[in-house]
Amino acid sequence: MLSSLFLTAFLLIVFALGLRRPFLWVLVYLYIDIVAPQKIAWSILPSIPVSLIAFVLAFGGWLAFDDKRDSRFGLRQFLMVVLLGYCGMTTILAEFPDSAWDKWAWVWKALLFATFLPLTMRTRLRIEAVVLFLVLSVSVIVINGGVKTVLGGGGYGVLHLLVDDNTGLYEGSIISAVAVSMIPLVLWLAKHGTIFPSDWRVKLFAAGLVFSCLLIPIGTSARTGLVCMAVLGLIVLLQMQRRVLYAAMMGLGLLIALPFLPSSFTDRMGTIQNYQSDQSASTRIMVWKWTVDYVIENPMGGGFDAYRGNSFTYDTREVEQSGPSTVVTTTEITEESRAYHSSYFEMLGEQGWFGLFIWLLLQALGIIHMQRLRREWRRAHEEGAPHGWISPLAFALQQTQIVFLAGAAFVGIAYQPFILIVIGIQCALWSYAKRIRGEAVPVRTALRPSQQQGLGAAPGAFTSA
Amino acid sequence: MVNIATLILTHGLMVVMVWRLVFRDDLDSDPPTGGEDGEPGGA
Repeated sequence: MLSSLFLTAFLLIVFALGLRRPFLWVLVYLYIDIVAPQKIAWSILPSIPVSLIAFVLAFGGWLAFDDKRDSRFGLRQFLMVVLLGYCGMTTILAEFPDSAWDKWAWVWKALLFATFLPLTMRTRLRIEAVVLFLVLSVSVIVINGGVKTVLGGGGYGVLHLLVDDNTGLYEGSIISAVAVSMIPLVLWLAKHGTIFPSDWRVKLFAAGLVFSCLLIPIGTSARTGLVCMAVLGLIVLLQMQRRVLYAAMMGLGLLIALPFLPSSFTDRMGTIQNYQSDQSASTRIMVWKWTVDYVIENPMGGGFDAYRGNSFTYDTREVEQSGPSTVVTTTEITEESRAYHSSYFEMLGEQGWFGLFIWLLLQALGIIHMQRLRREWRRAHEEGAPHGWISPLAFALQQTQIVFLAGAAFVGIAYQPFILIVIGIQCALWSYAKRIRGEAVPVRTALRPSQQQGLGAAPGAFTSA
Repeated sequence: MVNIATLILTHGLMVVMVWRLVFRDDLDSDPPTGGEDGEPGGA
């Protein structure tokens, strides 16, 4: 009851402040999409359509009060609209209409919001505000899980994250992937933030938050999280000059940490190697095979939750060493309606080849665009120019996306609002940087060639325009 | 107890954040120059 009153008061405060700054309503919707406060404040909020109110206010506030001159509709936003339309069509033709419409009920909102979000993010402060609100919203779940893990409440399917619910971000594998992939954004905020400028308190909070993010895969014992941590570690290592030294330090740190890890975690991580004896891992492989066969017969996909039609029998092998002899135990398992356990196969099975292509294009363009921004604005960053924050943010968003996509190979999170919001931020940063560069061009053309050489080629050099 | 403490910490930070945003002129339009860390017109 206390948390219900608290969260209701929080929403009322932010809704009220939005009367002065309508952009805040966009942040409220983002928060509701990520945290789902209706699940926590079960005694008050479920009776109020807060999500609908926030969306109407966010969209209405932008339509009525916001300056739209700097809003741009980019290629990736167009791709999201195409994906939305295609998902709508496959939902109408879905093999399992009831569950397809249930999933459609939240997917269309997440896709539409991600398409709309960049239109509102016209200024540097708004971009930072969305990143910060996203991080703080995820932190609601991550800090809770981190503290409970330290206090010994972890274990696969055991760690209770605020609510007794195993859906959305409250599911162990999903929050593990999201928590680890969020780390680069936390580090960017700690260094480049202006809402909470970098000082010892910000650095302390950021360090605690990163630690919590790393604790989530341990607390939930989710193997997806371990994959994400490995990929993030690899990306960090690749950026370092003394790779061997840092790799050795990481290995040493891991060796020291190993005895302190709960046995529930180390036991479960051990099943990554010995996947043949693990039912969960074997199921994934069977579902993936089934999905490919299914799409060969149904190239347009089966609509949301098409996996409900699957059924298969397979054997698990367990090898035991008993003295000089080896005992192999084979068990026959039959399974039905098993979820995809992979975003790539989720897209393939539900939306067919076309849907998977659009989704992959959306993701690939994000990585390419962020790489371009990172390179083009690097000099502005190195010279401490006013727009020196763009290159590190592009890199952080790219890292977040890559780590998420690695985790997405093992859990069905293709339409997760978190990654769609990250895509929205990427779109906003891309069009913001293009606009700034465009504004800088007249300065360059007004200068003589000798003066242009003095300014150099970095876009940041023209940012005073 | 952990739940309440987590909610207060994170939501408290979000309230401080939106309160600060309300008074920032650069929320709706970028300043012509500056507006960054350590520069006039910034935080």
